[in-house]
Amino acid sequence: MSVLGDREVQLYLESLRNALKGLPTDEQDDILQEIGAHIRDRAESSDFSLPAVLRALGKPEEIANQYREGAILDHARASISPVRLLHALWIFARRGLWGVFALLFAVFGYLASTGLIITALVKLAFPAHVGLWLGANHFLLGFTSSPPPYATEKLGAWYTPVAGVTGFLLLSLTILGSRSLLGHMHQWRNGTFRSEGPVPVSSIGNQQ
Amino acid sequence: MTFNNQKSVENLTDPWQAQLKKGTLEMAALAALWSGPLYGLEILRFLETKSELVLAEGTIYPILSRLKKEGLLTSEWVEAEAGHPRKYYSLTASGRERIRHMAAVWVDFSANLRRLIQPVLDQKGQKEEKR
Repeated sequence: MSVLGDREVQLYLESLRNALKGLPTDEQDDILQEIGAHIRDRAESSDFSLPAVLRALGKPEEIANQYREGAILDHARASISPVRLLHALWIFARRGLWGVFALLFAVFGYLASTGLIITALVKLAFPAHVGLWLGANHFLLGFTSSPPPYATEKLGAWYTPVAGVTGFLLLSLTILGSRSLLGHMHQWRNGTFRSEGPVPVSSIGNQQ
Repeated sequence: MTFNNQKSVENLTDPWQAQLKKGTLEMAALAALWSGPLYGLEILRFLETKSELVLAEGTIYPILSRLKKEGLLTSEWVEAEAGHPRKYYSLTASGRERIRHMAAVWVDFSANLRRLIQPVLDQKGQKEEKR
């Protein structure tokens, strides 16, 4: 246990464990054991000093982020939870423009679809205040406290089934679309997509 | 002056080079395992000797973990006779299929690009001859 008893190594592994929180415990243990074995092997083969071994590995937070991102994406892609999907898209939105577009698509889809579904239900309780009003210069869809006088309501009792079905279809489209976007971005992750990433070993060595 | 200009051009291409390396690391990791199981550090050493692909060493482990989750690799902790256990990775059948496909695509892709940049290479050669 020579090298792993070193204080600097212990601190490194400790921050790695902290940064890995949220992953299953057995996966955390596995990762720590693997990185620990790496540090031992590198240090014992004596081609690097211990601080150089840790520098070459990269920051614990950076390594942990890559593991966690993978896990978040895997869960999100199999999930219908808006929280999970939006969280995963948020990660990509912070990485580049395509991620921002994907996030906007999902936010718009969720808002519009839930809006339609909610108004479809509200129509049952307040039939006069929910509908689709069309006039010369008027377009109003959804709930209003005062229906516009110069426009006529077009759907009547049909509003509930039409808005309900449209809302449901839009929601499904949003979920499937978000998942598929996540899948594509997942593949590009190590390619053109990540704008920030690990630092080349050569430049790490130059820091000191 | 000329030297300075050249330097700044190289700096501009650096992030591009880093992206290129990141994009091919997955293929490189799979290729490293073609001849048999290796543990993480052996994969890194293999990549170091055959290429200059590796950025921060720690990044290879999340990549291996992802490839495993995608079913392209399996892993196994092996206890060494002297020393400590190491996690060995090997290609699954679909991993072999995948790297074969990647290799074929890569060969086509790089041959096409080579043709594309041939004029640039030719001109560079002429310039150097003139000197």
